Amino acid sequence: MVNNDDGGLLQVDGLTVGFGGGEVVQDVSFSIAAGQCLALVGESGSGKSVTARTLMGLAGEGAGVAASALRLSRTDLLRMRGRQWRKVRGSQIGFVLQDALGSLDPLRPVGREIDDALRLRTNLSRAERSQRVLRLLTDVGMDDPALRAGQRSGELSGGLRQRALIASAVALDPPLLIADEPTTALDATVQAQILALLESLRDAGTGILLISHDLAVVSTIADNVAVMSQGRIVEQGPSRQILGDPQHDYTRRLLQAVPSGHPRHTRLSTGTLQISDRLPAMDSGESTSMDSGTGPDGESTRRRGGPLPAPSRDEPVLEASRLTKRFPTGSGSFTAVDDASFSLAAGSTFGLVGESGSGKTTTARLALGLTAPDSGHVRLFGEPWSAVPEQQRRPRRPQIGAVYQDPMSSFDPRLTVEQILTDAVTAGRSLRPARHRAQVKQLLDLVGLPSSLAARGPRNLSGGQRQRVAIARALAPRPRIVVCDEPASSLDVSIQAQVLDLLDELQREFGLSYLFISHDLAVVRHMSDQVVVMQGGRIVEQDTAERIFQAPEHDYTRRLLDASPRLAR
Amino acid sequence: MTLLDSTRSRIRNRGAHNGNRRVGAVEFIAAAVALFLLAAALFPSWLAPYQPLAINPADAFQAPSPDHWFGTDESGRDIYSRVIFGARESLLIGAAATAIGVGLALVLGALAGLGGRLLDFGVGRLLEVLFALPGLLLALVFIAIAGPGVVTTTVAVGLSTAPGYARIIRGQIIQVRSSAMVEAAVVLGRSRAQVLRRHLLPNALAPVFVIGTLGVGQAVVWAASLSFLGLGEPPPAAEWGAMLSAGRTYLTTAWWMTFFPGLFIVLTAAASTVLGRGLQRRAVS
Amino acid sequence: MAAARWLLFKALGAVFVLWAVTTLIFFGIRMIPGDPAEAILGGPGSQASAEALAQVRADYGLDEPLLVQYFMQLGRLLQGDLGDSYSMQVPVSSLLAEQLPPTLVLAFLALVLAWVVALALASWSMLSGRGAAVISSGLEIAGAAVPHFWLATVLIVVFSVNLGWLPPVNTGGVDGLVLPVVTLALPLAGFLGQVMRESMLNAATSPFALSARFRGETERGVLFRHSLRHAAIPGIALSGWAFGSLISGAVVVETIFARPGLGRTLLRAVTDRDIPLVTGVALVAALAYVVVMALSDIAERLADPRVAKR
Repeated sequence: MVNNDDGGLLQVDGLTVGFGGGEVVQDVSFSIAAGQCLALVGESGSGKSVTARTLMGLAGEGAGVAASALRLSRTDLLRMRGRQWRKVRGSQIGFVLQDALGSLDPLRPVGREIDDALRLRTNLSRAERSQRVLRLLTDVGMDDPALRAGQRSGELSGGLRQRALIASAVALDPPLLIADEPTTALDATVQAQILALLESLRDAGTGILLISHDLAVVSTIADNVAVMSQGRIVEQGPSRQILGDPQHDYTRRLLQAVPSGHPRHTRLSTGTLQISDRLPAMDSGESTSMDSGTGPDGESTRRRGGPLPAPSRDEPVLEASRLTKRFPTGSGSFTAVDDASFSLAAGSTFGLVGESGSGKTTTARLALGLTAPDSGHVRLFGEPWSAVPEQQRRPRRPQIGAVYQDPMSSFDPRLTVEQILTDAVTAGRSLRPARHRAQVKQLLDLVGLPSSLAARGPRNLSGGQRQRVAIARALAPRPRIVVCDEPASSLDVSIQAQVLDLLDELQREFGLSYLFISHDLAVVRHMSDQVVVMQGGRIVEQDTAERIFQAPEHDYTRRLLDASPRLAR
Repeated sequence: MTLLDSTRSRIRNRGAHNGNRRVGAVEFIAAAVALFLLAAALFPSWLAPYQPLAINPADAFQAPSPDHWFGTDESGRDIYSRVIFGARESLLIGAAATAIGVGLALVLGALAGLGGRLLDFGVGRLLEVLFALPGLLLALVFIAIAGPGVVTTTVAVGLSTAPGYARIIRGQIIQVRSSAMVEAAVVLGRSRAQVLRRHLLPNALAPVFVIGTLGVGQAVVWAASLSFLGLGEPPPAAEWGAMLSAGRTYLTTAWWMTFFPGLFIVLTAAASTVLGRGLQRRAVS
Repeated sequence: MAAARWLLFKALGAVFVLWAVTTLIFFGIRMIPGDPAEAILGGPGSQASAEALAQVRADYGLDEPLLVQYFMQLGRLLQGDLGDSYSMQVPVSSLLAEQLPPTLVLAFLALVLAWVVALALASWSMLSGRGAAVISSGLEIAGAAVPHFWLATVLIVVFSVNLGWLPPVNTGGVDGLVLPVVTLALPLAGFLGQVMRESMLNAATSPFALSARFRGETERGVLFRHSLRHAAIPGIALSGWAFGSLISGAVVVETIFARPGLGRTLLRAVTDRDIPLVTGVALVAALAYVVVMALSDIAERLADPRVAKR
């Protein structure tokens, strides 16, 4: 649906963009009115960023652009050439890129970056310009604009940086602002502030084109939503209609994949998830020692699709008491984890949520025995874990596995998937897949990957496939605990849904216990039985997931919950 | 000069994109030059029309001509034949010096990267001292102590290239050691020996091959510089550096005596640089 | 406060380097078979008499135990006494005072020229697009494969012998400086240009350059306001190293162009195995290197706030 009313600020009709062989944007039409926000939603590779850049005349080298109409107010963007485009950029359309740290020159003060736009397109004197810069910085909510104008992007926090970038984009008061994933790398509380800033710009009459993969973010600010998939807009309309009553199958799948508001263990992904029902046997004789609790050969974990194995709450599988970890800094030390205690019950998921710098990852490393606490201790299955030397930990390591945010860096780049998994099933004894092909295949089946991927290197896999390989590797030694550190955070929402579903399925299948770490409250809520909230290294609240999210007690938890965007349907 | 470069290799591969085919052509030429030099080193008599040491005073100081492509020297010896026959020794010196440099660097780099804090500190200070005598200076000081000659020149060049290589190798080992890959192996319960054998050594030592390829050209240049200064093999040996040294006296009257041996040194160094970079790009991307 | 501590740390490092260089040379020379007294009198070929050798031993303290000699030398060094040159029989310190300035002038001029040429070539390759790959491989080869002695030969043959524009050897005048400076600068320019080009390329393709274009900045504006700064950073960081390579190159260049200077003095000292002079030149070169390294370190910190945080 395209509205052709004349109050339209931006009019895009039948836009097609191609590079060499293929068309990455096909027949895209939408319009934006002044004071309105249109969100262009899609997953990576859907063509949303190329669409946005085409509106700036910077689709990229070798791009072929065609459209039946591409109009901004009365300007025909299709007729623009080099010099004319530069007059549009900045003064007619402002553009905010995702990564504010990279989008501001690290060697120049942010004030100068904002000043650039004024210098290029206005006749203001130097003094007038610097007045304008200060006012812009105040407008975007900077506390001490004179100080901030002189600082470089590296000296600013993530939120201030994004504000500075927005200030530089709106310096010339453009009627249209394009924001490409403006809040993606930000913490929830900061994200909420930036969204509020965009909202105030919209309310002041600026038209906004918001590019995002995050439906929850979109639902808080967009008036209209256009859903893009594989270069086409599959559905568009008022956001209440699209998010509340989606017509297109893809939109429905996308909404289903958002882990907010579903009961625990609800499938997020569609399509069948065929995982095989047993882990391959380990080659080494050591495998028996690690199964002591589960019975021979994982017998008790083989009930496929059956009810959850009742978690035995009596004995925690992992117990952390009064953990403290400090890191030396230039002067003094920084306390990453401060007096944290928690315990992980068998067969359950323990969610650990907090913003960046809250000590989540250090806690994970302490639990894995990768770093020693300065005080306090970790016990694994009731036995000392952090307090013993690595040699004594090593034979017990198969009991506890790990899945990381960035699986790529955790693989040896020289090895193929087959070799990585062979190494895992043979406990590092062999890289030659020939004798272990059956076990490798079983592992691949387990995580829903075809055996045809076995010969590839991890570089040649998609993000979701890589994470599946990482999960398969973690499960090969048949652990009973898996520490998941942001396992799905860098994935598209539909892939995230698949990975979360897989983790859930595997947990039920094998009675695994998860220590599940994420900055994303919705994900943690979806996955966890128990939750702790961390702030600045301290645990501020600890309870069942239900109570934390329904009736938070601590002030910080409440603020975090308020700030995290929820899908409004 | 090559060493600083390779530490920066990770950011440079983007530069190769806009000229892929052209770079390919340069690499092809470099490979052809390298093959020619190898042929000269292995079978010089196939390529050279004269004997390298055959004196013919009547033909002294001939400028380049169809008879003598590169001219003749003060005793009427054919420069082209001498350059071809000189390839073997010059390349051997370059290869030997690189082997010494890389070997020494491997020991130092491994000690620093694997041997714990104290050793790392010690090796670090030693490297700092060696870096304070950059380039030829360290080689010259070594020759001052050990005396001139082919063997000392070769060792001197190896010695003065070692600190740079050692720093690269140490950096590489430390980078791999603190990588997520090694951490993942520890979580899987791998022992130190297993991690070392399976991940650390193969990944940390991969660049040594590239360093070696890049280094041979550099070593040939440095060894020739020392010979040119009169510290290497004495004339009238058919070795590029010695020929340069002999030609120095006649620079203004018989430029071809220094130009052509020098040209071959440039070709060697250029071929090794281009091929080394090619390997590097392929290894990175 | 932090700056003072940093400075003290650097100064201690420099003292350590100087001590280590002295020590390495001192013990290195004693490990080689041969009689230092004989070397002082002109080497084994000089057929020095037993009396003369004994006299020299007494004069230079060579009859003392090794450790005593070592500490005596350190003691003299602390007082600024570098000893007498074996071959020229004059104090090393006065030789160095005479020879250091011409080399510093040469190295400094070459460094400036190399920077100018490198920045120009790198910028040109950024704006020209098509020729970029050719410039890039040209720089690569020039930087790594063209030795000073060969470049000097070619320049002399072309500009002095054939064209007669410039003198082939030092005449004491300014025109005598042109060829040596160019010889030293070009290979360095190739190397610096390559690094700068890379850094410019990274800057020009970065999100901040894209943001600048989104603000309406021209390609030229991106180059001058962003890329050039980013190109300068590695250039500054490498200048200490570059200075060292220039001092090393000065040995060859000063010899070819018959210029006075540290390099040629070192070569003569090495040929004569004049150990006090070799030690002296090595110490001065190391000191100069350490100082220039510290300066380039400071400059880099000033230019790039991210470095100080590392």
